[in-house]
Amino acid sequence: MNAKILKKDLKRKKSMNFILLIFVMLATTFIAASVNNMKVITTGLDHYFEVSQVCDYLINTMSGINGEPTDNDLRLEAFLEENENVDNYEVDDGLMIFEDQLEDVGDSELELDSTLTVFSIKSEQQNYFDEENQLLKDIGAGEMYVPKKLLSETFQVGDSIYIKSGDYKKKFTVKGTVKDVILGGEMMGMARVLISQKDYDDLVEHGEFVSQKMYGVYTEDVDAFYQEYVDQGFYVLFNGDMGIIRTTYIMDMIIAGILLAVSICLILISAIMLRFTILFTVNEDYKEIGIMKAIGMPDKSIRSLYVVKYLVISIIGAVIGFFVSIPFTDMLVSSVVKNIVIESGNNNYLTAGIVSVVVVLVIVWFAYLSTGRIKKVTPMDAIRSGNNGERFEKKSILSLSKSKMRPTTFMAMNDVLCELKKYIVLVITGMIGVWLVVMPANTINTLQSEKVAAWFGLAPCDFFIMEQSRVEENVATADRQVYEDYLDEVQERLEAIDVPVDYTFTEVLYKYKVSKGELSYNSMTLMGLGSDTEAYMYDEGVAPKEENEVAITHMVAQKIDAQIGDTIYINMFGEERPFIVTALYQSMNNMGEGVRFTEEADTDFAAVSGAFGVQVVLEGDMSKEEVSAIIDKVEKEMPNAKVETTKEFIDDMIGGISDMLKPVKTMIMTLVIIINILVMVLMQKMFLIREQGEMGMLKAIGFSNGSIMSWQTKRMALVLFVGMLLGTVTGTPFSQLTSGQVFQLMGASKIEFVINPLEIYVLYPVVIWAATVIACVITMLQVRKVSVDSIKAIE
Amino acid sequence: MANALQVKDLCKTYITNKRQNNVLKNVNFNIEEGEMVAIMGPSGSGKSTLLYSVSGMDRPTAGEVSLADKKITDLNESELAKVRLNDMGFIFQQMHMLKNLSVMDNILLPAYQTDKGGRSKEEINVYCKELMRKLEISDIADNDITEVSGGQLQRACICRSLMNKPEILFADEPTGALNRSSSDEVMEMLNRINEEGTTIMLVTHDMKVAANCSRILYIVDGNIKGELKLEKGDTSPSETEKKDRERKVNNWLSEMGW
Repeated sequence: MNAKILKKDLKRKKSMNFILLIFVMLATTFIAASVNNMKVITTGLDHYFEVSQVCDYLINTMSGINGEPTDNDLRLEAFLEENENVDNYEVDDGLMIFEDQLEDVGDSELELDSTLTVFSIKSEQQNYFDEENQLLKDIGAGEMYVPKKLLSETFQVGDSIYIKSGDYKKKFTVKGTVKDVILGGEMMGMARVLISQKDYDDLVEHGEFVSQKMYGVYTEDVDAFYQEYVDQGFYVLFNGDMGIIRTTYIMDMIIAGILLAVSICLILISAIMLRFTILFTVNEDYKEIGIMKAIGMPDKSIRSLYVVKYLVISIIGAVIGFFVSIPFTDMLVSSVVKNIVIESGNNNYLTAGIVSVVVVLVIVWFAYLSTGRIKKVTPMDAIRSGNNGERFEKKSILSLSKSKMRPTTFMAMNDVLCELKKYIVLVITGMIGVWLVVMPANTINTLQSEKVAAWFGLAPCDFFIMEQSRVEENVATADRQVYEDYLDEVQERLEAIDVPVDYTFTEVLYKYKVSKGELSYNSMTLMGLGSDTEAYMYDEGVAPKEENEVAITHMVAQKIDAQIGDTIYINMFGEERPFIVTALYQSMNNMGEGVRFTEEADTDFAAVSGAFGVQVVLEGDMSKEEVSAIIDKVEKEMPNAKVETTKEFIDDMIGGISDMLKPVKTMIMTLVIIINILVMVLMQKMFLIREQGEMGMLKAIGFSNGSIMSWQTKRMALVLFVGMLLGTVTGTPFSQLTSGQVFQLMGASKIEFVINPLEIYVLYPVVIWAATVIACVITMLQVRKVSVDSIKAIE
Repeated sequence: MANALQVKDLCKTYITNKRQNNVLKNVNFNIEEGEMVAIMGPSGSGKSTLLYSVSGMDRPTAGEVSLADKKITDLNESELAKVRLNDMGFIFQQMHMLKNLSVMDNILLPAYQTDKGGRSKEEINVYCKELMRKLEISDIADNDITEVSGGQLQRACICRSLMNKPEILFADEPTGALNRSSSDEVMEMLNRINEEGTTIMLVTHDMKVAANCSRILYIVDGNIKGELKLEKGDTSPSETEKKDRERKVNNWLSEMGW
């Protein structure tokens, strides 16, 4: 008998049951995909480092031609041999290829933002992976694997280039991309290209290339090793433990963090959606429960009947949701997390399976609890849909006679105010949707703003000129005068083509040991040649003026426990030289590292590890258009130079994060619109079923279809508007809480998000709102099918 | 007297489980302005279907229905909605109202929705209060619909149906869900409204309700089997007058096979 009732129920209430089924399916899909997503994201980097089998500490030095060790290398190797904290170390040699040693083939054009370093696949230090996350073991002759960050519109897989040295040149074709855990991070300045051992040997045999050495140190105690290593004052291009290497993936982590927030929000929306739907459907069943009670069916039988019904629906929904969640998970993860080797998808099935079972159990539990009232209520109470009294609390809040609104607007407004709880799902969905869109938008706008230059410890300028090979040559000379001459030369070249240059300057970078008392830290230090220290932004204190004054970042201050006014020591020329800290500043360079000298400071140019391009300040106050015209002109006249605005320069420096975030923003925007539409359509369908009696009555007293649609649509539009308004107001603090943390991790302690009001407060909310309301109107067209006869369904 | 309602060859057929069920079969009748007509008949005879079909709440399968000079069977859905809003009132057996609005707001709703008569909001409010006073429900104006009795609610529904000053009022068992005392009150109100010139057509099972009308149509199997004309009585007739009318109706209904 029960089976018959159940079968009839599933058929007769097919609309309501179908809506529940869809909600269960969506909830399972979203939760399973989100849990999988969270699992991949939170364990992603750990997994990547684990499968890459990396060393514990990495030291990168500049060595001689074709891997010839320098004195510095030999001294370092001797230290590594003797140091008791070093268990073992491996050395990989890499050949540095400058732009003039590359020749493009055909239409392919490789643009270098950083030095290209060629390594043999026969690495002792780590495992490499291909695009499909498969271990890369062999590379054929004439083939090369490049990191994704080197690819561009003009340089793709399949393209070829020549590597040249003197008269010798060798052709290489890009076979695929490589995932390289050490140098693959977007924030890592270097880019490693892999070729076969034979090709590497050929290059060394026939050409002459400046080289680098990559020392991978294995140690049980990284801190103890570091303290002894830093005291030696080796000249290095880069050093750091795996913690530092991990921070070069910060951009991937920003995206991962955004996805994590999306996942949490999806789970939240799904949970609220489920609760709402079940309460709604159980309420619908109450009338029949009352009738069954009235004819004497035992409570237990009635309850089991409905619990079984929800069990059947939830199992069907969860099974469908399980299968849909697998491609959805892949879409969420693989479309954005491109640079790391994520765990294979086999575990996704297990997680999705567990989530599906949990969803079924939760629904059955909900249904069990919701039908629990059966025992307490009388048949009549149940027939009255669970309400148990003749008197109810006062509902109407507004008064039509006192209102100036149209009746349909009034009814919409009054409904929302009377039964706010009923609309909470839509309010929360609207709010969360805006959060999710505002978060990446604020992050992109902030990263693209002029303010970012100051947060990267840069002085303002009109544009940058980068001649990579000249900069490398300058670094190799270890002579300050060469830099100063180069600045003058650039100014003269610009003036020769009628560019009104006020002055030019550049940033020279060193890696120095900075210490105070027992504490020391190997920090990036900078000197602005040709600039005034007043031009940089400081959070506290005053700009350093004298040769023995420095400004330090908050991060360095924390590492060595230094304050303004303290004397710190910087290891140069083989001795500890004292400097007074006059200011603290924030910098997102090298994860917050930074010590700034004055131009007067006597520094060791042999320790210079690199330099930025030449920064050009133009005369007078030029408009953006004028500067843009000058940049075009300079690009034309100096074809070998890369000319960039500050924004473009920063974007290059942080791995084109804005470009990486844009598809994420689009994906989230699409997802938010889809979710809003789904929630809106399903809720509206439920209201259509629930309120068809009222609609029939309104038709009977002369309301047209249009008026009824207007009432229903205005109500939903209003609710969504309230949700989105809340989301818009709280969106920026939410961004601060989420991606603001990542900025802090990068070294910026005081980030104020740059908000594009038109985009954040108008464009996105209006687009989401309009798309959702249109979906609501389309759903509401079903009002035409509601007949006056439906008035019988009124409660 | 001009006709308030003209019904010609009205048919209504339902298809249930592939079986044709002819509920109304070529029904013809007219109602003159100012009349109060009751439709009676056994269960399943087609009374309510007739009421819904002639009031434009449902579409007949064939035939013509005209309200005054307006042939409503030719109107589209949107034109029909206008007719329902402006030209007629409808009272249901169950007191259907929007639960989130107060009693007065429910009554006001159709008047605010129409542009008939070009009345200002103030005029509408005054008219509403006047109607509520007449139907003796002024004291429940601001109450929620769940806070009042069935009789009061039905009177509020009558008020709502009269807000746009309809030419004709349809009522489907207006006292069906009420106790005897409330039922008497409602019928007294309907009589008063009819006295003031509004044409009324109602469906009832209650012989006492029918006895208040000026004419009774008896329907059996979708056809009008008989008709009884009654002299118009006072709005508040004496007990003897009431008994006489009821007896007359009772006798006639017995003849009809009631």
